[in-house]
Amino acid sequence: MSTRPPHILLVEDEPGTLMTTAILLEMSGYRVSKAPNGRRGLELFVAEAPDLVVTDYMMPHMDGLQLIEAIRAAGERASTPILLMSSGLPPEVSPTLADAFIRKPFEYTEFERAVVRLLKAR
Amino acid sequence: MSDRDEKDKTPPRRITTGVPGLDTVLSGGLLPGAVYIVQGSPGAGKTILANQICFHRVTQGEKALYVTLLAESHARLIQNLERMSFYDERRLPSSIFYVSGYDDLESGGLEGILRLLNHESQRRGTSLIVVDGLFVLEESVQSEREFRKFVNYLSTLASLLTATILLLTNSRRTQASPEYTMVDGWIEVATATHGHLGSRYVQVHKFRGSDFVAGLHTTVISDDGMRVLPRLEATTGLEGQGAAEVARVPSGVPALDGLIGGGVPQGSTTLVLGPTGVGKTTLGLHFIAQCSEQAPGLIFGFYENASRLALKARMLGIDLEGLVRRGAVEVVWQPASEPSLDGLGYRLIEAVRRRGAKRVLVDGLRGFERAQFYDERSSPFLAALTHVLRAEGVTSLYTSEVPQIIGERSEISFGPISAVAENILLMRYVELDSALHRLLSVLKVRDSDFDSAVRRFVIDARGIRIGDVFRDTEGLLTGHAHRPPADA
Repeated sequence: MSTRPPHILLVEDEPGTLMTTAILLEMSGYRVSKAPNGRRGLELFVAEAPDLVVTDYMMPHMDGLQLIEAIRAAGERASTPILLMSSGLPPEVSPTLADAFIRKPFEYTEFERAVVRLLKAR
Repeated sequence: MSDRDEKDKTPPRRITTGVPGLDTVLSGGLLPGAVYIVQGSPGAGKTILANQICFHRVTQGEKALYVTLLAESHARLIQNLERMSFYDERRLPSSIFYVSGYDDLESGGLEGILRLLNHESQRRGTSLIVVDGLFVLEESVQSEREFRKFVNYLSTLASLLTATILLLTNSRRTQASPEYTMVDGWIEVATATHGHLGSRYVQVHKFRGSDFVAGLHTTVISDDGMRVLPRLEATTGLEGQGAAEVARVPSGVPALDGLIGGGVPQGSTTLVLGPTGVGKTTLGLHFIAQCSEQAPGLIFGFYENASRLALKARMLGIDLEGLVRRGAVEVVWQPASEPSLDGLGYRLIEAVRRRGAKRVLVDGLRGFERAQFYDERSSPFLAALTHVLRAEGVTSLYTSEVPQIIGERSEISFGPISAVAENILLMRYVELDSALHRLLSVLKVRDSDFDSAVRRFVIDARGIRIGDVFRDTEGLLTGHAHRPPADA
């Protein structure tokens, strides 16, 4: 019996960070969908129902805070775990809005530990 | 005069940059609604400059948008900024917002970038936009015409949004390239090497709607960010130069004051020339020993640090340490590694202003002579420096070493400082009767009579003591004195 790999939606506007983080996650056994901004991230969230959302804060068109607010208003999927990442701690974000926060730049092992923890806690 | 005329003459509002010295070069700062190229090779300081301006504008209650295009990651960029004193984590992301424009460029081309800038700037209320990576946009277009249209639209966008736009780019194309011809200003930051020494500079090539200080200006990057040192002579007015000084201040050697009309003119510059060890610094220490808490002084030295100077002073009966302790004197020692003429000049001026110094001893003019570009800039630079010091009410004394211990006076090069020094004293050795003697002669005291006789002096535990005129001796200033033959 095959186990479906956890599906992560990665929302990040910087192409280098988006690509390399996605590759590392895929090599760790996750299925990854990529979005270059919050607006596209929300579209993929609705369309693909990921197990975990990992989002940057500062992005064009729709920032990470707006994306999280939209997800938290998404009815039965509102409790999807969210890992917020940013270079600066956004003061507007309530600690309860995102399930975890990781400051950039981060080491991948630290990042993956947060991913594993959030997926287990679902 | 009509209202219209009055309005036309109102100087435009300026966007101060917060980069010390840059606003002086830009005659007050950037202009709102204008587009500027900040160009320079990697490592020249474009990113620091742009971020420093962003953080400064935020302190003025404004917001900034920083858009990158295949540049270093925001995390790395911010990590590098964290050590800068202007960096304030609390400003992120509420007041400064970093986004990547790469996806918009890939999906929407240059129009996508324009839409992104418009959308993000309007929704965040930003008045400053930085686009980091203009060369990426250049590479993405099919034709010069397309890029020209983009720069034109960008100018219109800046005007409509009343936002100042900084375009950061590595590439330096020809001046006829559309980005340079169509933008409002072009600021180059660069690094250069001279022999083994490196330096940084900024140069404004173009600045529409305003005058600017042309030419190269040294820049310094430290944990305080970038600082521009506008060429001293280019930013210092020389009006009032040569105004008559009447008040005299004591030189610290009473017998010398007797030779020059009661002391050195207040606010004047005195040059003391002489070979090594003859007593130039000793005279300078006498001069600086006249300082008090009410009229403090400064020793700006290159060779002898504070402890060595204190020891030397003690041997002359001068309590330099006590003067320093009481705040009457500050010793500012310059490392020999400082390559920047303006760096030295501004350090001296700032120390004078910080202390409210009324006397300055520059011990070793050669420290300035070693700086880059001294040969081509020395005269105007020293004129500007002495002018600034005079305007600060400072009476200055410079020591300058001449190479010859003994030799023809005509071999002595006084250097460009002599043109701006009101007073010139020459200290020399002379050989007479199989012994070396020190002698002092006054060569110049501007607008004043002086005693030009050549006098012997000694240095002992009381410092410099000036003696009698050499009599019955010829050839003193050649260094090889001799007694004239007795009349037959």
